[in-house]
Amino acid sequence: MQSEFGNPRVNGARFNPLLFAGLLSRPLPARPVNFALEKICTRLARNHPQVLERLEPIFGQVFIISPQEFDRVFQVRFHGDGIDAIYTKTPCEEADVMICGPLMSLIDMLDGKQDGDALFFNRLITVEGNTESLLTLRNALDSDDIDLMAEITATFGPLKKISRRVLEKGRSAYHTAEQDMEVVNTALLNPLLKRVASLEQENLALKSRLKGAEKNLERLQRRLSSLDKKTRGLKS
Amino acid sequence: MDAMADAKLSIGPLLFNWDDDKRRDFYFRIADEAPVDTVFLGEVICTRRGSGENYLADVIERLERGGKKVIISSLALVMDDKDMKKVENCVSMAPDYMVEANDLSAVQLLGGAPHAIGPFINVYNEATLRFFEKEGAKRISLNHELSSRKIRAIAAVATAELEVQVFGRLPLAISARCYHARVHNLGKTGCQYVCNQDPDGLTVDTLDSDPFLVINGLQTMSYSYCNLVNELEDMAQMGIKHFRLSPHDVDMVLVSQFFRDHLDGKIEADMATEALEDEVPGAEFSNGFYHGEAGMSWIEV
Amino acid sequence: MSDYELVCPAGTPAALRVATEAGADAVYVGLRDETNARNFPGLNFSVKELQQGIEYAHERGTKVFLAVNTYARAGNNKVWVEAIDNAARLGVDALILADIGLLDYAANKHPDLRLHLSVQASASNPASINFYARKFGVKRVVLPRVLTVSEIKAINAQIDVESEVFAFGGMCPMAEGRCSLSSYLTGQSPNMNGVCSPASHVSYEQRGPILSTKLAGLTINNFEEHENAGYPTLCKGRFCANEKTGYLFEEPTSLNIAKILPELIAAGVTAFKIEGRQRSKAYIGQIVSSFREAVNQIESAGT
Repeated sequence: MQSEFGNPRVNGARFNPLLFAGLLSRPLPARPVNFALEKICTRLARNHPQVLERLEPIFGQVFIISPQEFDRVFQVRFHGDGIDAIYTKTPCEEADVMICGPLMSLIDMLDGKQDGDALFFNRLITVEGNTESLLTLRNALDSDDIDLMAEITATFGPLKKISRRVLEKGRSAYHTAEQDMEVVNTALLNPLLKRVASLEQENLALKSRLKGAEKNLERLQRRLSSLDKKTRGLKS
Repeated sequence: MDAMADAKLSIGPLLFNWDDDKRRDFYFRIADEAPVDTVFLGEVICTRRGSGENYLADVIERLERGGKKVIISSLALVMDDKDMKKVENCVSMAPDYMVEANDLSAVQLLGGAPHAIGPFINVYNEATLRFFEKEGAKRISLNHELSSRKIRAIAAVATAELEVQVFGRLPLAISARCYHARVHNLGKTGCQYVCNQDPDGLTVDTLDSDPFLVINGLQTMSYSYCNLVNELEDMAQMGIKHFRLSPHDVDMVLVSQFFRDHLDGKIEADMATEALEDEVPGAEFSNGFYHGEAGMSWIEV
Repeated sequence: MSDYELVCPAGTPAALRVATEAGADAVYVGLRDETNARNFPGLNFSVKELQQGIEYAHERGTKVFLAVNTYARAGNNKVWVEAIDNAARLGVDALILADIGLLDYAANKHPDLRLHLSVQASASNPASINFYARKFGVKRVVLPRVLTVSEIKAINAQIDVESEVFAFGGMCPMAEGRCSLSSYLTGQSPNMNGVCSPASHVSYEQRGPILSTKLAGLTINNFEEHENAGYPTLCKGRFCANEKTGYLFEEPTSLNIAKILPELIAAGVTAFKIEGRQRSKAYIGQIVSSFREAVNQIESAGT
């Protein structure tokens, strides 16, 4: 759970690699993606029943996985008979968990190549919603040897060699681009961002001090009124 | 109501580092005026604190004159030879006084002699209770984490007399590190006894200025004061014999009087709580653990 | 098989396989319920998975320890007793216990089952350790994380059982097994429920550029944008006392004794334990191989 052993931090997660993002942000066609998703889910549920068993506490909950390069999100739900996943522009508004981040980080996290905690605590991915549900998902996925890349490519049948190569290429292009972007960020953006952050931090610290002073005052008043009551009691 | 009237009050070991004069005065008043049956003496938290040579004999004599039973509490966290020496000294009083073991090292040294098991030894269930009874425990203090349901299950099979803390900050954790020294940028061995500056512990706030814990040397306690006055009747019915009041820098004679009055049916629980609120100004009360909830919460009964 | 045992965490069957392959002498696991101190959702083993895990590990010469290191529930200790009976039936190499009631049960019911004393029993001195050895035949004690090398040496000189120390992972500043900070805020504790600062009570709140981590609604830490964040484990938060703000109880650093392995061996330590059954298999593989290498180096240096 602790973050301290994470991977080396990569700066500027929100300024993700333009190069790769540009490549991917061309909208993926929803219909073939959904067709493939259905197949992948069937495969996953069939090949990893123990994982599904571990997911029982979160059956029915809605997970939204949002790769920041895409204009749509993946909406996933686990249940007794398997996994439902759709690629959609209009996800359920009451998701239990929402995970955002660069596509490849999300894939790395889901198939256990990278420590999900480290990704989150290094601010590469952001998470909203039920922390326990996310932990359940993370632990369950990690409990078996799931090769998400293999599952995805297997789904494409005769095209699998090509699709695998494309994905792998994507992964390495992403990691290279990420490093390049880090250099840019460090040189140009970080000083500015730090200044902004420190101002906001200052503001926040002042606010919190004010709140603290208010609370102390309240406590003091409570104490005074109770002492007052006591003195009156003694007098009478 | 008989179980209520039969129940006894005790003053737990003083967990804070008061100076000798303050301690002496405190115990003299307890001896003379407090309606309690048992008083626990002895340093439970830190070996470096004084061991009471200057006042202990006087205090014991006065307490006994006041009709109080004296139990000697042993150190909770025993790590090195100095700590062990302290436990040995404590156990050496066993022929004359009952000793409350707060670490297994004391149980080992007691070698089966009749003794008490303190709240720092984990008794969470019936099997553990039975084991200690077999080893000679006559009086067992239950862990503050236990809910009423669990206390009831343990009480149902106990032959030793059971005790539950009903007043005062809860001893949530103990560490090899001294947090008082740490907060004052001092080392544990050069601590300058800074823990004596805070007679009820040093408040710990969150970054949003919410007070929630207090530091007491090696110990971390709850910011809120445990108050189980509403639950006394319930526990008395289960067969809990002793109710422990953990000493604070307030009028503990009055505090014990409120609890006694309620046990004796002289005042209602609400009135007792109101009186406690006046006596411990600004204190937040909690009873969550007893109700199986977060310990810091207050459950209206 | 080396002279010193490397004891590695396995929160899941996949992690067990990874740890075994990476060179663990022993793996320790827990069942999927409140009988162990890492009772996290989605983690741990079913009885069947435990059986398969034992087979897998034993085929490769790796031992399996089962941690049943929470305190049995008053009024209903059924799952704890079943866990112990299952451990005996399936042939685990050791059972790691903390609760005296359970130690008593295991020692009487399964006299041949090897017992280790969990760190959750908070046995921090020779008298206590010898008590457990005499009363329950405990063969090994897992020592508290906060002990110094010289304290460990002094203890080992006065006990007749093996000692195991934490080599890497999360650091507990409080005496283990004597801490109810978590249940004070959340109602759930390591001793009773096998969880500390449970995820069910954790929330993350973005306040401008600040990520605020919370437990039961209380702020445990605030992280600036350029800071690595951390899980809001209560004792590892930033708080204020005496007009000072900071890590009051514990810096967010981890324990790593790789550098002092030789000193610990000289202090009489038998086994080195890596913390982290809740960690991913990617992490486990990495840490276990590095420690395997470190231990091998010391052994080949002939210490």
